[in-house]
Amino acid sequence: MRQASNFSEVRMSRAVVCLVAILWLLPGHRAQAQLRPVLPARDAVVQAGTGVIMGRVVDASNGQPVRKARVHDGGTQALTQTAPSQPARDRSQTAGYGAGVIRGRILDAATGRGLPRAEVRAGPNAPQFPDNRIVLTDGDGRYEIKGLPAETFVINVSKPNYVRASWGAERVEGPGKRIPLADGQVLDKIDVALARAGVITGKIVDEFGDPVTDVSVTAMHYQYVQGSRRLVQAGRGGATNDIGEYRIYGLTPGQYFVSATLRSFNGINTETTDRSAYAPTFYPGTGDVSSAQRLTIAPGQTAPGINLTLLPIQTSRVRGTAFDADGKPLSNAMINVMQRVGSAMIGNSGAPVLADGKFTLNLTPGNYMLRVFGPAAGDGAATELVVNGGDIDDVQLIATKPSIIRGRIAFTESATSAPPPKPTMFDMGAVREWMLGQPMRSQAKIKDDGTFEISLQPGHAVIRGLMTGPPAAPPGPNGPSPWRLNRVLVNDLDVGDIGIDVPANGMIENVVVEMTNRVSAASGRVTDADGKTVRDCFVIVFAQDPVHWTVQTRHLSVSRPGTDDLFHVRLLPGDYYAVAMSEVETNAWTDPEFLSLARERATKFTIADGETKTIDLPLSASPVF
Amino acid sequence: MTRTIAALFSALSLGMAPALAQTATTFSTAAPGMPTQPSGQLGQPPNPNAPPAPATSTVRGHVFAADSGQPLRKAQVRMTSGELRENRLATTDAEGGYEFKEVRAGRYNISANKGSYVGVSYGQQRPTDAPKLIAILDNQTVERMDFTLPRGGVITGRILDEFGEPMSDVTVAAQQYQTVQGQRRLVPAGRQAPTNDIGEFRVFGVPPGQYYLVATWRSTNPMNTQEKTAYAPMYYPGTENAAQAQRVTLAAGQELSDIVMSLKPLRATRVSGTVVTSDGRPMGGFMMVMTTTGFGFSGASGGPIRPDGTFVVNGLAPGEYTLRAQSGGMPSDDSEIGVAKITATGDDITDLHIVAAKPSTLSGRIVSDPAIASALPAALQLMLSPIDPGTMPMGMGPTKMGSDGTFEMRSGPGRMRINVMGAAGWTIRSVRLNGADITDAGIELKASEDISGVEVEVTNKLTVISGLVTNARGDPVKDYSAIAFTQDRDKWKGVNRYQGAGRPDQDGRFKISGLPPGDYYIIALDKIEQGQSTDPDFLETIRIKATAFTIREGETRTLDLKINTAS
Repeated sequence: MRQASNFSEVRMSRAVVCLVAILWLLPGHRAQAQLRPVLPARDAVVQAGTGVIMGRVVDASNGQPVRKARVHDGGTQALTQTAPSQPARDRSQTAGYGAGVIRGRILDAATGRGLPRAEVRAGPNAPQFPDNRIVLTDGDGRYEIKGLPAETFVINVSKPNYVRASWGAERVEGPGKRIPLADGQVLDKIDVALARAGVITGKIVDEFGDPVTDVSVTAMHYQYVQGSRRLVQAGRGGATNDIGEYRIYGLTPGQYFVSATLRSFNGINTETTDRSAYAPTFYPGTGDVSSAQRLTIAPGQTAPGINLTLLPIQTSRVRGTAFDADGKPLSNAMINVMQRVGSAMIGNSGAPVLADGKFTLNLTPGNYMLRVFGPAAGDGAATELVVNGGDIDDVQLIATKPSIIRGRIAFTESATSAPPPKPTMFDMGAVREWMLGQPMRSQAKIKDDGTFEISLQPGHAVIRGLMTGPPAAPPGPNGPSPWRLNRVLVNDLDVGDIGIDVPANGMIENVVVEMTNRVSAASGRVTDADGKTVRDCFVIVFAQDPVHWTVQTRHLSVSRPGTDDLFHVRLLPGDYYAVAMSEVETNAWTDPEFLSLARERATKFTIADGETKTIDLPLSASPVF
Repeated sequence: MTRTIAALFSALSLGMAPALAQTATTFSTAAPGMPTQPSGQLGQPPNPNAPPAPATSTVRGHVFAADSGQPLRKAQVRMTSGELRENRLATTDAEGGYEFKEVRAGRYNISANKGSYVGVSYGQQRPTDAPKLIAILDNQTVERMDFTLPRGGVITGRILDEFGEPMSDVTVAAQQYQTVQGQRRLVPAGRQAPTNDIGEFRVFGVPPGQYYLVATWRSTNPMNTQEKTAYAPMYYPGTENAAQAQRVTLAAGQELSDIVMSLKPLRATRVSGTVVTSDGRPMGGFMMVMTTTGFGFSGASGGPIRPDGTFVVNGLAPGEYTLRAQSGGMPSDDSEIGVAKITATGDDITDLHIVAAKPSTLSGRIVSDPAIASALPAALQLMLSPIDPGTMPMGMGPTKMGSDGTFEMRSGPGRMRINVMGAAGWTIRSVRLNGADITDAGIELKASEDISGVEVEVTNKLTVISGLVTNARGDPVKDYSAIAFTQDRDKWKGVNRYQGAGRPDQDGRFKISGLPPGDYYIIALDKIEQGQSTDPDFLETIRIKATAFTIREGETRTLDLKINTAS
């Protein structure tokens, strides 16, 4: 906790002096600004940002220059640090800093106006990304990234409600062109135009043609989630107002379905005789996504007039009983209800479980997930339920007590002279798919002797662990690696990728979680049919054995060639395929069907423990389903 | 969170209530000659373990639009009874008609809502009125229980930033002054609206009245942003000072359009630090960032805490915040939670060290008043609530209850009071720990400390006060609020179980039940603002005109009152 206001602020009329200083001082100090405006306000800020500020900030108590002053324009309040008297030297001694400058303007693609407060990053992203490589544009859309070393950069730009873009990209959301920067070089006019993100608007009416308020309208598109293509929500906004109008915005270019859902007002009502409700309705007016119309949204496009009439429907009454793990009625609990639309889960509502364990729900036809949590933490039950229009009277939810996984943490021989860390330094847990695409993690309790215990709900789980503590120095391509999970052994079988089936009310013992800091790595160049180096592509490296083609696999690495024209992947030892493709849908590589097609064009290789290999790849066509 | 939602819900339900004309509702009973006293249950709380009384009555009516007089189809009519734990809903048909069949006898609140219209409850003459209850008898048919809904007012406009660019995700609300826990505060009246990608907002369904408009920005992703700019709330027509805000008057159905406000930028506060578990290990997990208001929390957002326990919260506008760190994984008995309160001033906060704690356990026994042989109702549940509204309720799992009345609850640190819920007709008689009565003072829970031996005594011998109200000429008054409050001034603030309010039913009778035995004042007022009775100064002004009385445990008293004007 920190107390307020140990800084003072001096504000001057913009007409007289365009700069304002906020001084960050110890309590008791007074501050005053001595700043000479040399340029109109916004330019002055840009100048201040470059470190060539024309003025000094002094501490009024002793007249000494103040190093931690922040200078900003009274109108824009874009804050920048004053040029301190020494840091230039400090910075030059820090890796990742230099004297190079990249500047330019970020513009609205439609109007050509400068866009304020766009985020500009000088990539590629390093693990320890120096802060000075991310800046926000000023009121005219101008930015300047300074203090850059002699490296090759890519300029990536993002702003809410705009489509992210990179300088020199040849297609929407494609990779940017490289910008080689010499030592101390100042590069100007690195301008990027941003297209507004897509918008869908329309009006929702009921069967009488009256506008309906509070309808949740969503844009959905197919995405790879956990190994299969599923409909997921995109964009923002979408609730209808008093005249039934909605506006969904922030859509990246792509194809969308529009769905309208009016949450039943009596979802948790236990005694209603009112069965009127509406089905989730897809544009142009169907309850079935397979007959829904797909809208293609281009960058900057607004699709107006996407109007819908909600489909009236009758609700079904679902009655059931919830029991605890001992078979006694579960009172004092809530049933959580979610509906599956396409493959997304929507509507999260609850209903009480009465003292006798009984519950009543009124649900529209559809597929549901019912969950209940018992009074003891960790126990609970879930069931899928299909409602077809008739009443359902005998749903039983029987809670299970948490199951237990026990074992110990082991270490491979260290790749360095340093001994392995203490087992308690690992943040480890079992990850289970709790709902479609939603993982749930149960934390392992680790003792000093390396033994651990995980208490979790039954189901299919994988064990994952990371080292805690301050982040290690960024590893170079061949540098030391932090300790990480190598294998998970159950009866000498590595289940690290395939996971463990945890039985209800069960216990799995003698699990060995092996950690390693040894690194196997591959790198290489991708060339097209003409032998030219390709950078705009994805390199997918995956295990030859399909047993590892799981969503949670660690025998998979996806990368893109970097500014050195090479791709770099770190791998566990084993037999691999590698393939380079110009376009791949995100997460397609989690789909075994995709991998089995990709393997036909792939290059085979084997990598041993601690080995570093060079693999050059031809550019392949993307598999077509 | 629950707290915020509850507060929001009450704000919504309070705000929506304009003038309406209840048109000649008729009551008829199938058994003529039955007493017209509402519900034959005064003084006899229903036995929750007995089979429910047969539901033999019917309520029906229509819902109309006030402006056009036309019936409103697809309006929702809700009928609720706290005493009976009933909550029923009907939707109007194409002619605007609705019907509830098989209604159990009891006292109900009935309300009608429809999208852009202002919701109306039975008995409301003005939007700020508390709803009245209607007593339904056995075998009764209530006809023409009609509602006329005024069209809600609409406020539209745009919110811009300092560059004149549209701002999205700014919340615009019409607010009114209300007394909350004894203090006058601006609280949202009715709906709020977020701005969209082009900065537009549309606040609708606003009941007629006078409002202050306020636009509030909040960082949408405080855990991952380079944003160095924040914005303070701005009041119409463009001031950051609530005292200088301009009040706007909105008539029924009026549209106030083209309100444009430009928010002024401020330096955002960046908070960084580490979270450690109670045994000093780095704690990864999830950080929730909430705005601390005078009466709770709002605007939760958040993000992950890194596995090494470090976190950065960015983009905080000046104000009070509560950071709540929870360890990763599924919430369990061992989940640790750490809470820090911070004041954002624009100055960065670095090295904030949060030490998490395991929840404390509070265990004991529920006993019923020894004078009653009756067994405890199965639905009875205990609840812990923090006495200081600024205390974050945390880590509270459900209460574990044994069939022998033993219980175990988990809670974060703070001073907590124990309440009962779930069983109509039952209330707390006393809560004791080591022989001391802690019913009102509560229990101080320290981090990771377990307390056992708490004895919670419950009773179903409720006090009941009822009566009729007349004016100076002796004529019955049909619209008033009766307020009963303790004579002990020390209990005027904070402890609200020593206060009760009643509104007349259709016969003009009020009923207040469940006050602890003791010495009270009671007064009937022609009108009272929401929350006003939480203000000790207000109670002092009405005390002089009030009637003093004493009520014993389980006693039923009839107190007929004269109407008073609040001013």
